[in-house]
Amino acid sequence: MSQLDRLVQQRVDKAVAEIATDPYASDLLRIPLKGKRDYRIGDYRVIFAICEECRRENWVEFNKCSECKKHGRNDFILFDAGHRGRIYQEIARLQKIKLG
Amino acid sequence: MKVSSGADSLVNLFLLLYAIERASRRGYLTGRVKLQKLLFEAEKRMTKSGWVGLNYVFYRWKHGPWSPEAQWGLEWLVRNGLVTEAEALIEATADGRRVLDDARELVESNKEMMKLIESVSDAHALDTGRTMEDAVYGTPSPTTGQLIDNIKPGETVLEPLEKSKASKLFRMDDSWVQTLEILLDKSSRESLQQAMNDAQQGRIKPYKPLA
Repeated sequence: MSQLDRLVQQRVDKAVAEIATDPYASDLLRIPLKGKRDYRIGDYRVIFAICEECRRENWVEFNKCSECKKHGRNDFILFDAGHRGRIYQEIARLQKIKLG
Repeated sequence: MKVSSGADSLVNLFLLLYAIERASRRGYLTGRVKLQKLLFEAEKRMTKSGWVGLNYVFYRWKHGPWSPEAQWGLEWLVRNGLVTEAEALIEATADGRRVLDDARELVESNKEMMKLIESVSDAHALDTGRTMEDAVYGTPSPTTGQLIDNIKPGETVLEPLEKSKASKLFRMDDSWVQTLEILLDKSSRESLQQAMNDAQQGRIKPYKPLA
């Protein structure tokens, strides 16, 4: 979090508050990121895992949190947060180039 | 210049990585001209079958049909550690092959399109870019019907079908879109891997909001 600028941190704060309200309003990621969820907020994303879901679905082997048992059923682990659109930004720049 | 957008850009990158891996498995993928012609041939066949998978727009350029987005895609894959391009030899890296292996389910659910790319790659495994370029010039543009040799530089040679007219689309749900956004981007991949290592080592701290 300390590596993100203030504006992004504010967006991540907002996303975390929303995730805390309804963590399932997010998309599950696929193998090899299985067990984790992706919550989008504009051009940013937060990647997290819901501890209760992780244990229920046997995703512990994917998320591999060493202190799994310490976390309660209402906890979630925030893995990463940041910008999600580098590919789209570069493609959009291509669009502005004129051939010739 | 026309380019793809949103999830279509990810499909293009994923299929480009697949085509590169496949082409270098059977023969040698030597040079960008050959890669461009392989993609052109694959997309032409998809269009003819009424499918939309590859979404590149090809223009008539110095060496025949050329897609600026496919060129960018190759450079993106190289910058993000999924493909190497050394002395014109284009190959998937171990990370690139791992991404494809991890995405087996996506390959499986789009089996026919992947098979089409495989058959084009295999058929031209031993061709050079020059051989393919010469062959392409004598064929008509699927978009205009004109011989490619007769099309003016900069004009469109091939565009993907409109999705509403397609009989088959590349199938990829939101979960895959978000997974590929991470897997195809080195900084996202590495950042998440670092976080997973931290969790594995017990380096988890309670979240403290900024405000």
